[in-house]
Amino acid sequence: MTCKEMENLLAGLVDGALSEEERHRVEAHLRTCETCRKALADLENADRLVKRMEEVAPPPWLKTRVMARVREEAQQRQGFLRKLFYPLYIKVPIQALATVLIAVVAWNVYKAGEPEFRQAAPPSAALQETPKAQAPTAPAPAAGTVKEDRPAVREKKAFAPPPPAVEDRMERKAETSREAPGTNAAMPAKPPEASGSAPVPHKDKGDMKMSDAAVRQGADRAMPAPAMEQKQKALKAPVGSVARESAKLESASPMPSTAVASRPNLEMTLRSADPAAAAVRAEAVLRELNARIAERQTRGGTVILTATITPENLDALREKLKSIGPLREGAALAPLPGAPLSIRLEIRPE
Amino acid sequence: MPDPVIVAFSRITDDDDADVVLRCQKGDTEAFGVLVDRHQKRMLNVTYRMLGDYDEACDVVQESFLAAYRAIRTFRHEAKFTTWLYGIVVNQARNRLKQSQSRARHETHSLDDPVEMADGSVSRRIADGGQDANTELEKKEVQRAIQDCIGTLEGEYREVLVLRDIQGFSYEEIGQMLRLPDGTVKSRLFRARVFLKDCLVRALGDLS
Repeated sequence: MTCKEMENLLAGLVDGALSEEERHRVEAHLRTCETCRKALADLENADRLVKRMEEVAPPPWLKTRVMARVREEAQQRQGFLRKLFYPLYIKVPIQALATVLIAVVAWNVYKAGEPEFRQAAPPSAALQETPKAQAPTAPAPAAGTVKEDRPAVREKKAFAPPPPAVEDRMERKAETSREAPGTNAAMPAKPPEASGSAPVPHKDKGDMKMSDAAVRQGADRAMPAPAMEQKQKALKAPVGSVARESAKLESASPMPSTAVASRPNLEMTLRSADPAAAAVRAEAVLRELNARIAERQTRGGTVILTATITPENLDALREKLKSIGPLREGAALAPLPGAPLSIRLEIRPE
Repeated sequence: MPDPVIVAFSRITDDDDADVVLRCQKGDTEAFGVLVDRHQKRMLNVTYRMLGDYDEACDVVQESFLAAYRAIRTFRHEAKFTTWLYGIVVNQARNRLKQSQSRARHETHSLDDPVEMADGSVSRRIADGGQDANTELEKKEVQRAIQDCIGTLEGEYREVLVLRDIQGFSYEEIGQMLRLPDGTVKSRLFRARVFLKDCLVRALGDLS
């Protein structure tokens, strides 16, 4: 090993950082090398000088400045945390919670009142025009003019949801005219107040007296005794009675009315995985029980069947429909004695 | 009664700063003042010997304390706080050194700067065996010559020499501060000692 290579080890000898083996090797070399002995002496002197260097003292302002900046940092950090977490922990959750709460309540209200919303949907523009377009004393339109005026269809729409898709409307129009061409002629639109305030039950025979009785009975059910007397008088009046006009129009029809009154006696909802197939089965059941299917509508996945059935067959109908799927019934209006019962059967997907 | 967690930490790391550091970590800003009091002098001396400029050294120490405060929550008590803190200050001084060296390349030298000769040595400031060698002035000149010689060392040699021979940190501590293995610390230090000895011999003549 040369003296130059030995020098690095000599530097390690200064503070005893060499291993035992290295130390022995260096000491052996030093015994024979004057230059390295001088180098070691210089290294030790340099080390002594360096260690004797005076220390510098920190200025008094150093700690003050450091701590001032540290406090500033701490305040900024607090301010930052406050900015970050105040809205996060208090404002935002409250706002978000309120929004979610409102959404949930709105959804529940909508779901709970869905059938009512459907019935109470505002009449279409066409319906609102109906009273103007057709005078109460106007004669029943001929069957051939049904497609142009379609008062009966419009009247049905009064209780349908807001304007359906064009295809649905077209389909319904076609079905209605196909099934009962005389029906529409026999069911001119009644003024909204007549149909809305006192439900007029379906009239099977074209008898005017019967119609009067039906109107009176329907009104009687909805009124208390004193009011009922007044109403009876009003109904007996020879002119101006909307119900009478309606009955007159119905009696003018050569065919018995198969149209279901604006509000059915009974609303039923049937749930099925395949509403179309269930509708076919339900139609078969209805036919089997001698019911008369007045209308079939399809809206989205829901099929709505409107039919009339004799009250005697109602229980049998219930049983058979239950075999198709879970059945739910709405509030029922009692039919006239001997009169058929109008049913609105809604078949919905599960 | 002392916090048992603090006692446990102090015992594990043999760290006198453990309790104060825990207080800082819990948000006690004023506790950091205790750490500043304890370490500012030594930190300033490390930085001053590395940079050779008192004002700049003060500035670096200030920035190092601030950096330590910002990061104190990340200190895990796995090593001594001193090691962690001096790691920060050495790193800051190293960065400042690089900046000053880069700046110095573009600036003219002051007349007071040590004059580097063509062979890499610095100019001799004190006459060999001068008669007033024991005077205060000469002492200051010697000190300045040593500082100048330290200034001629490359950064990696300078930092190990300052930490070991001037500040007396152990090899293990230096290894943790600089994240270097023991062998690397030693080889750098031995070379730094040889460079410094050669420089001092050139600057002061006989060192005995």
